[in-house]
Formats: sequence, C-alpha cells, structure tokens
Amino acid sequence: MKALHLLLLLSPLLSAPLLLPLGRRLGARVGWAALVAPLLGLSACLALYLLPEAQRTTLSWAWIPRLGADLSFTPDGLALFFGLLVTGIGTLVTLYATHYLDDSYEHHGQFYCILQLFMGAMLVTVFSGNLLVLFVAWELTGITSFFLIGFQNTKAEAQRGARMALLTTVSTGLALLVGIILLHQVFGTLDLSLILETPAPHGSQGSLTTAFLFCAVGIFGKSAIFPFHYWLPNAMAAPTPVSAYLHSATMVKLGVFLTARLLPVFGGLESWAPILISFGFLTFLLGAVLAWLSYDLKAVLAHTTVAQLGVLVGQYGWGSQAGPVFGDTLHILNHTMYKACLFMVVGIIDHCTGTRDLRQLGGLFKKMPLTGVTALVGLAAMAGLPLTSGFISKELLLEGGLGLQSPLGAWSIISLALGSMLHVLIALRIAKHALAGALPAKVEARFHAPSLGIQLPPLLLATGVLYFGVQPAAFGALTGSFGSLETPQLSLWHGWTPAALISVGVFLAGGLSFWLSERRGWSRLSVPRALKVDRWFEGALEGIPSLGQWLNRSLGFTRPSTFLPIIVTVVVATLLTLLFRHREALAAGLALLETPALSVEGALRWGVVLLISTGTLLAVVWVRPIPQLFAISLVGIGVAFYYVLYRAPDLALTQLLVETASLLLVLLVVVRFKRDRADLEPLAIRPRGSRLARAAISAGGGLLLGFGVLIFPNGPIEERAGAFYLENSIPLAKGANAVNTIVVDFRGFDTLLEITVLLIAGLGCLGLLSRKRMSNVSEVEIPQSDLHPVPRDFILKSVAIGGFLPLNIFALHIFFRGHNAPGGGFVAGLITALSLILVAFVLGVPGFRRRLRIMPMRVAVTGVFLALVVALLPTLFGLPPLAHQYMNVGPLEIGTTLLFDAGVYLAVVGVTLKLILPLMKSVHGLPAFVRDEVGDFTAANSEPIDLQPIQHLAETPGGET
Amino acid sequence: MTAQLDTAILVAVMAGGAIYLCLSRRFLRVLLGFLLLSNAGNLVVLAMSGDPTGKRSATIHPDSDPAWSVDPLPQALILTAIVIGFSVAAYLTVLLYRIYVDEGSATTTGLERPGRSDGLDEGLTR
Repeated sequence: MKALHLLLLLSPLLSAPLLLPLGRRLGARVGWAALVAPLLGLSACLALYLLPEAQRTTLSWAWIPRLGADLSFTPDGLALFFGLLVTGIGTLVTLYATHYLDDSYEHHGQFYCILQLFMGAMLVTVFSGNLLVLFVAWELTGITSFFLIGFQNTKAEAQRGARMALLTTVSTGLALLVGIILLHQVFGTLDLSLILETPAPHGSQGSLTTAFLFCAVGIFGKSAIFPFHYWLPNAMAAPTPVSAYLHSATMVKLGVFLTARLLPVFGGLESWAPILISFGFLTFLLGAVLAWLSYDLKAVLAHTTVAQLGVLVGQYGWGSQAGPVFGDTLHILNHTMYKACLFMVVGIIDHCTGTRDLRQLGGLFKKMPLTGVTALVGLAAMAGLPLTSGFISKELLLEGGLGLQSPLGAWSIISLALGSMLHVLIALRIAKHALAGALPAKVEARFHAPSLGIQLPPLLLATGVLYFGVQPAAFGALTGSFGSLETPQLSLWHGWTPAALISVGVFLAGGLSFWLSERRGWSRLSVPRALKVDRWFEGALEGIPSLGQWLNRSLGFTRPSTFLPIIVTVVVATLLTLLFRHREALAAGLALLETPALSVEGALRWGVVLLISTGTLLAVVWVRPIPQLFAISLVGIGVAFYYVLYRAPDLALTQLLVETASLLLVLLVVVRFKRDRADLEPLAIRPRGSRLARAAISAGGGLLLGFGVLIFPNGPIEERAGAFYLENSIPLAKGANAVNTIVVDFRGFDTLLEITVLLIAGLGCLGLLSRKRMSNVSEVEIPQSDLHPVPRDFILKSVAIGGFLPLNIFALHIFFRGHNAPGGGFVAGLITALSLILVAFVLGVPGFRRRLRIMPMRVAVTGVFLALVVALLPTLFGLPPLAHQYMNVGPLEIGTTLLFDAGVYLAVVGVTLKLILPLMKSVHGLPAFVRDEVGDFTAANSEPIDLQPIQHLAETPGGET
Repeated sequence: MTAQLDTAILVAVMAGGAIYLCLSRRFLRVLLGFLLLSNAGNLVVLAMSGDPTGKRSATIHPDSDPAWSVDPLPQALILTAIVIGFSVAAYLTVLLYRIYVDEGSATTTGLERPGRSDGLDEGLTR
C-alpha cells in the first residue's frame, strides 16, 4: 500500500516541472494535462481511505537524523480527510481553471506548475508525521501562494496582495517554528505520533502553554484569524481559481488542520479554550461585519471566509470544556463545498460581465440560469437555510455553543447568532442585487454567456451541498468516518430545541434587516477607516524606508562624501586609542622587530615597496583619470611582483590577470567619460582645511593597518592550520600545490560560494545595464570624430587574432597543471577571457558576436552549475559533499577536482566577458545592451539604457574590410 | 621576531592613499580607492603568513621539509579575496557607468546641482 501513498504524495510534485515546457507549447490547453496529477492523487487518496485502518501504513525515511527530522507520512483519518479535500477540490479547480484562464492570460504553464507544487506542499503538510517536515511544507504552501497571488505580476494590487500575504504568513510561520521547537524541548522528539501518544511530562505546563501561544500565532496567521485577518481579502488579487482553491478551500484551512492535530497535546491547557474561543468568534463577527460593508463580490466572499475560519478554529475551544469536539470535519466540508462553489460563481460573473461590483450587477439569473441556480444553492448554504449542508452545520454549532455553561459559551452564542444574521443579510443582498432585477445596459453590452464547462465544477459542488442537506445521516456518517469519535445520528428536525429557536430568530432578524437596508439604501455602507487594518500594515511597511530617508536627511547624510569621513574617523580614532592604551605591550613587540637582512632579496623587497608607494602617491596626487589609472596599474603590477617575493606564485599570476581585467573595465568607463568631456567636471568649493582633514584621517587609517601587520601574530608554521594542509595535500587531495588543493578540495565550499559571488556580480551588472532609464537627462551630443571606432591596424589585428590560439593552449596548460604547480581554473579562465576580449577589441563587439555566438551569462551559469553538481554528486553515494574521487589514467591521476575547476573556469570566462563587452560597446558608440543578446536574463520591459545605436557604425562595424 | 617592516610600511602607504581617494567627491576616484584598498587588505592577510625569507613556496616537493614552506592558507584565502574584490570592483564600475549615463555626471557636486531631483529619493523609489 506504500505505492498508493507514494503516488498520492508524488504525483503533483512530479507533474509540476513537466507542465512548464508543456505550457509553452500548448498555451491555455495545458490545463487538461494538469488534470492528470489531481485525478491520480484523488484516486490514490480514495483507495487509501477505503482500505481498512490496519493496512494504512506509515512511510518513513531518515532526512536529517541529527535534528530528529524524519520524512514520515501517516495516513490517519484527519490527513485523509484533508487529502481528499486537497485532491478533490484540486481536480474541480483545475477543471474550472482550464476554462477560466483563457488565451487572454499568459504563462499558463507556470500557473499550473505552481498550482501543482502547492498541491504537493499541501499533501506533504497534512500527511506529515514529523513536525519539522510539517513546518517546511507549511511554509512552502505560503511561498507557492505568494506566486499564485502575484500571478498577474504587472498589477499593483497583485503585487501588494502577494507581499502582504507572504509577510504575514511567513512571519507568523516563524512563531510556529518556535512553538515546534518548544514542543521538541518538552517531548524530546519531533515525531507527531509519539507527541500525541505520550502524556506531557510532569511540570511542563508552563512550556506547553508558551508552545501553544506560539503555535496559535502561526495558526492565526495562516487561517487569517484576527488580528491577522487583513491579508486574506487582499490575496483576492489572485485569479479566481486560486482564490477558490487556496484562499477558501485548502491553504487557509491549514490553521484549522493544525488546531485539530494539536488538540490532544494542548487541549488540556487552561489557556486553550479562552484564546481559541475569544479570537475565533471575534473573527467570525468581524468578518461578517466587514463582508456586510463591502460591495466587491470577491471581497464579500473573502470576508465571509475569514468569518467562517474564525468559527472553525473557535469551535475547537469548546473541546476542553464540553468534552471532545464532534463535527469539525463536517463544518470544514460544508464550508469548503459552498464557499468554493460561490467563488467559482463569482469568477464566472467576473468573466462574463467584466465586473464584480454589486452596485453594477443585476438580472444575472435570467442571463445564466444554470449558474444562477448554483449561486442560489451556495447562498442558501451560506445563510444556513434548511435542506442545505449549511443548515446542519449551523445547528450543530449552535448546539455545541449552548452546551457550554460559561461566559465563553455565551460569547460564542452571541457571536454565532449575530454573525449568522449578517450572513443571511449578505446572502439576500447578493441574491437580490446580482441575480434578480435587470442587468444594467452598460454591463449588458460587455456580457457574454459562460461555457458549460466552466459552470460544471460549481454545479457539482452545489449538488453536494444539496445532497448532504437532505441526507444529514449520510453527511454525519461520511464526515464522522474520519474521526475517532462515535457519530451521533443526525436528522433534519430535532423539534423545538433552543438551537432551532435561535435559528428561526436569526432568519427573521436577517430578513428584517435586509428589508430595512433595502429601504434606506446600501450606498452609505463602506468599511470605516479604523477597520482597514491592511492600510495600517501597508503604512507601517512604507514607513520603514521613509524613516531611513528622514533620518538621512535630518543628519545631512545624503552623500558618501559627507558621512564616510565621520565613519572612518570614528573607526580610526577608536582603534588608535586602543593601541595607545596598550602601548607597553606594543612597544615590547616592536622591540623584537628586525629589519630585513641586507641581501638581494631584501633589496628587491624594499625596491618593490618603493615602486608601489610611488604609484600610490601618484594616484592620489594626479588629477587626470588616465595618468591616475597608469599609477594604479603600477601598484597592481608591483603587488603581483611582491607576491612573488612572498613565495606566492598562484597569487602573482592571479593578481596580474585580475589587475588587467579590472583596469580594462575602469579604462572603458574613463574613455567614455573622456569622450563626453566629463572626466574633469568642476566640483563645488570645499571649506579650507578639509583636504588636510582628509589627509589626516587617511594617514591615521594607514598607520593603523600598518601597525596591524607588525602585531598580528604569525608564529612558526608548525603551530598553524597551514601545516595540516602542507602535510595532507598529497595524501588526501593528490596534489602538490597546497594552495590549489585548499581552493578546490579542502575548502571547496569557499570556492563554490566565490564563483557564485562572481555570478551574482555579473547578474547585478546585467540588472544595472538593462533596467529602464529613470531620469530624462538629455544625452550628451558626441561628435563623430570622438567615437572610438574599431582599430584598422593590420599588424595589431593579426597579432590579436593570431595570439588567440597560443594563448588558449597556454590557458589549457595552466588549467591542467594547476593541481600540482601554480595555476588552476581561475587563472586559466582569466587568460581565455582576456584573449577573447583582445579579439573583440580588434573586431568590434558586433563583429565579435557574429563570429562567436555564445551567451556569456549562459557559460557562467553552466560553470557554477557544473561546480555545484560536482560538489553535490558525492552525497548521492552517501559521502560528504565535495568528497572528490580520483582514478588513474595512465601515469596521470585524474580527479573530480578537475571538473570542479572546469566549473570555475567557465564561470570566470562567462562573467568577465559579460562585464567587459557591454562597456566596450558603449565606448564604440553602441548601446550597451540589446535585447537579443540578453536572452532570458533580463526583465521583460527593459530597453537599451545607453545611446541610440548610431546607424552607420551598427551596420558596418569595423574590421570587415 | 619578524622582519616585515617593509610590508608594514607598504600597507600603511597603500591604505592611507586608498582611504584618501575613497573620501573624494569624484566617484571615479572612489573606485580607484577601492581597488587600492582591496590590494592593501590582501597584503595584510599575506603578511600573516610570516617572513618569507629563506622559505619555499607552498608547492610540495617530495624531498623538502614542510617546515620550510610558507603557510598556504593565507594564500588560498587571498586567492578567494582577489576574485571577490574583482567582482565588487566590476559591479562598482558598472554602477558608476550607470549613474553617469542616468545623471550625466559622476560627482556629488554634479548630482546636487540645482534643478536636479534629489538622487536619494530616486535611489529609494527606483
């Protein structure tokens, strides 16, 4: 039976990635393919449900044993109930969505993919037998929900709604994590079945209560219980199938699910009943009031959903005081059926009329009778009218509340009565204003009749509502079969019980208030400002950047040149004071200093120091950028030579190449500045002495670092970590070059992250260059003569192109010898990249691109991916990540380190090209960015930020003669 | 104990010059200052591997005593640091270019010129 269980859990997760390419090919029709997984899941879940309980086995694998997190999945009654809901409603919603998401929408593949991922996350959450796994999947539902709410991501309301939902559910989810950790502290395990079976250890009431409070925050956040009720109505920016599925039928019920799950653990706590009942039933009332005040049909439904969630959570509060809870699954099923049905109806109305505004609708019953009937059934269930499942649910709730002889019971009854009355009022209003009457002419013009297919899913749900309404015994038996409790016989009529009397009163009051509202007009109703919690939330969120802005402005810290001196001064002054206070120790240390012995090497070192210092001083003193750059390059090459003197050939090689690449980058910008004559822009006059102050600060900072060199401990090699690497480089990493073995093997993770940083920098530059221009500063006019065309010098061209092959052979050599001698993937990558840049320089970027049709960013991503795969591959064989394998090929010992280094090589080539080519084009007078070379890596609305392409250059690039 | 006075002086000069350049109002000079500063930082780490006089590089020869090799760990760390420094410098360069293309200026004076909207606001709303 494990196969069934696996099929249920895996079918949505496995089908999700397939839907992406299918969506690209099939467009809107991909929805039919998306039906496979929910149907499979539904049949598997049904089959599991029909099995005798003894055969429902638990699946279990070790996941993170050290944390006690096992991937275990238990198909008990509650899980199966929610599993059936998720797959059943999932099937209907997918069917509905195939009709709803027509060709006017885009990215169908993505939509169904995320929907299925959500479905998978839901199933994992409800079946999980481990609290940590439950938490992870719980958060996954929130993340997928974020993407679904923001599916139409160009709409501002979708962006806002998605952000609000994510921030609220994820931050409250963290509270849930705290609660889970506390439970782990109390019970010593994360296994749910163990936690449910063992009685709480003696004296753990305090921690249990704290755990409950944290879990309650998580539950309230997910199920939109007051004070977190504001996100759900804003999540309605999602396409309607999503609202029907996530935000009424399944995801928001996770809070209800978790309350039911943890009832045996927390149910005995004194705080259980007061918290759940007071917050739950307050939410019921608040949601009903807000729904009454709204006129957008979806907002009305969203608020009634909030209200119903309040009841569903609140009724568990009765559990500890009036005996075990009966009927929770009944209420959930009832609400899921009629609310999903109503959401789908609203979707149809929206689809056919183009509006959801109650004030602009009417006469829809005549226009679409089938949907009209469906809507009436759904509304009747919402109002709790007899012969619908809603009636049975409401009677049970009233009886449950009346069974409680305490102030909390009274509060539940008051809230239930008032809220139900408002539900009657709302149902009547929708029936009157959307279905009855006549359709306004303005809407009529846009109206088109719904297809049969889109009307079918809600009709099926409405049939269920009616069937269970007239067959209460079947309803009770079905929903009771998921729980462990004895099911009382349910019937339509109990006689004149107090619950029935309250019901009649609710209907009368609802009808009366509807009549009054009709007479006085609905138009004056609107949500008062005090109740718009979502506005407060948005305000607080926007307040954070405003606060920072205000702080910066009031301190005058708008420019680095104003605040940087202060920061540097504080740091330097603090550290110098510290040095001064420890001057005795310092002096003792300095007394031990020796000057380098007078030898050739010592002389060389002092010579290089002199060279670099001169370069530094010139860079500071000179004002024109190009000489300055020359001075900086002097420093860079000097440092490379200094590395040689420090016995660091790898560093010297790398430094030399990196220096070349970064100077080339800066040079390109400088040339562009020079071309526009912006290199010597005049500056505002500074107060006298400010230059002196800057010099003083800089001197202080320099001295500080210089002292650091003298006093940082550097004992003999035997006492350091380096000795380990020197000894083990050959035995463990099969390489003689200890620096390289550290980089690719011992500390391979550093390298993996390092090339990721490289990739991020590349992507950041891509973003900078491809985003829309914000200011409308007019372009500087450039005389043609000032553009830097492609050089036409024959010798230069032949050297650059002819040098390409030898350079890359050399790169290959450097690459392969890296493990045993100075070199490696990074150095080789820079050589290749620079040789390509050289070719691009003489051919012009367009000519270069025409000959070499590779996307640099793809190369870089491939490289990082390759390194990642090599790093993670050993984990498949039970080895730690980055455990490299070696084999002998002839005399050579080849290892997976080589593949890892190849990843580094590709990443370096790709990123370096990506960084330099756009700037090169800019200097050539071409736009830095054009769409076709950007490929998949840029935003849809980006455009070249730079100059308009200059036609004659773009068409006849140099180097073609 | 150590004979690295030359390195100390070198680091002091480079870091001092770098900080001076970083405090400038011309963004290009700030960028050059950053390049210098990352080099100076690498030298500080390198100095921790001790005085190299009379030692061998960290490439192991079968017949040599590891005690006479330089410490390979700071070198490996610097190797990573050079690459990260390059990434950041490249990002700063492109950022500088972007500021220049958008604003037509690459100095704080230019950005504060009257008639121009406050760059700070744009930075936040962008």
